[in-house]
Amino acid sequence: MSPYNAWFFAAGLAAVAELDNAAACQFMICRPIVLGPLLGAALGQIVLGAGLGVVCELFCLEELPVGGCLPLNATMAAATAVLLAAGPIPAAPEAALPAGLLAGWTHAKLESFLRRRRGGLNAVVETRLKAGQEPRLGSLALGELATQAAANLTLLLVFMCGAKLLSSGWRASPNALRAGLHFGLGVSPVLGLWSLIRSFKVVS
Amino acid sequence: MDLPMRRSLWARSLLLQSCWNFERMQNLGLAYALEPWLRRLYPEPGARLAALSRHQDFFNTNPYTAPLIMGMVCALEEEAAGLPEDARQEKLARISALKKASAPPLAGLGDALFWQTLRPFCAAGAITAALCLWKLAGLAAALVGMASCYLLVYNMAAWTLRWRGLRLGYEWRERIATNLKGYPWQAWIKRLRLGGTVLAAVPLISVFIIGRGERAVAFLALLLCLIADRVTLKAVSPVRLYAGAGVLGAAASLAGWL
Repeated sequence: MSPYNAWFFAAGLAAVAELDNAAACQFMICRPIVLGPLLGAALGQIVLGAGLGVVCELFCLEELPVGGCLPLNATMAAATAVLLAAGPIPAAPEAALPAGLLAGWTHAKLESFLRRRRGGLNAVVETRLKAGQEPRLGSLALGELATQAAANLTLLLVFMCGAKLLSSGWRASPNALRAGLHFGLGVSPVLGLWSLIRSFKVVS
Repeated sequence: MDLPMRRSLWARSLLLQSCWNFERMQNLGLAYALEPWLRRLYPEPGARLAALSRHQDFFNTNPYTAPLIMGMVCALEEEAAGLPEDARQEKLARISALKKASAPPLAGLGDALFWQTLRPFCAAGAITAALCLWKLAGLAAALVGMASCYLLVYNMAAWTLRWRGLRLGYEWRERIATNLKGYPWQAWIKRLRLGGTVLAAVPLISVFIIGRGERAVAFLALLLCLIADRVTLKAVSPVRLYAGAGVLGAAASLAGWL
């Protein structure tokens, strides 16, 4: 498989795996600690994928996806970071991680929009039921899953389009910015592990 | 409830949140999951569509504990379907009330057990397993082991509750809350948290032992966490800490320290 084909395959895989986050199954295949090494392996950089996956996992553990709360999407954050750092136009992991976090935050807004839009489905189903028609709930569910997967893929492709810009921008960026992001990435495992230990202290 | 029906309800319960919306949350997913059972109880389309209409109201709970409520609803709908018309309305109102009443406490239980405890526990266990396997069997085995460990432990608990939950909900009916009280949930959660803290401490300590060159950086990071938590008097999100570390690093670079 050519590097670009592997890149797009990995993006498709991530877009579908994101559905496991909330929309379907919830088998935890979407978690960065699982998806990171998987995407890394698809792109031939399993260690880089695992490293970024573990950092994103630890960064997003404290935020709970309960009720209507939409925290930063860990799956999209990890997927974007790995796709940018291990893709055919590789960006420095120091730059890929904040780009991934931005993608995770953007996805939370996108999902909020999709969930608001789904409110209209209630009226559609009620109208069908009142008219004595089948509500076709299965088709609606599959349609929504397809819409969400398409939205995920679009977001990933947008960030992948910026790979060249990120890569060249990193080289041209001031030394202080690079040093700051390098330091940030270096301390991120400790920050994440600290947050993990702290998460066990939360009183339920 | 026979096995094929249970399997069908279980499979459909996996799509409980596929149509999640802010207005009524999981209502459409629940109606979709209950559809095969309602089709069996009400073979004539009019009654079945009326039954589906009854499950269009607000519903939200944890996806792993939802099968308990589904099982209960199935049992009560079965009872209601066998009643004469005049007695049925009262039963149907009771089903709706019980569904609404049991969803929030089961959501609280599921959130505390799965999101707040088992998810970080599995992450801590997977990272520690990866560290051990790295030393014993190499990096590739460590990474495969990390992902497998996470998926195996988490899904064992989740699948068990989802699969057995349907049957238990069906058997327990209105006694769900009373019977769930019999399980030591809080003790299990406490033990998992204690175990998770120990498991998470292993990789943190190993950063200081193995990463000789990074000891100073790791110490600085830990100091940053402690100061941030102390100053703000609350748990600062790791993303914010990461941003703060980036700013500190840039400032240190401008000052010529990095």
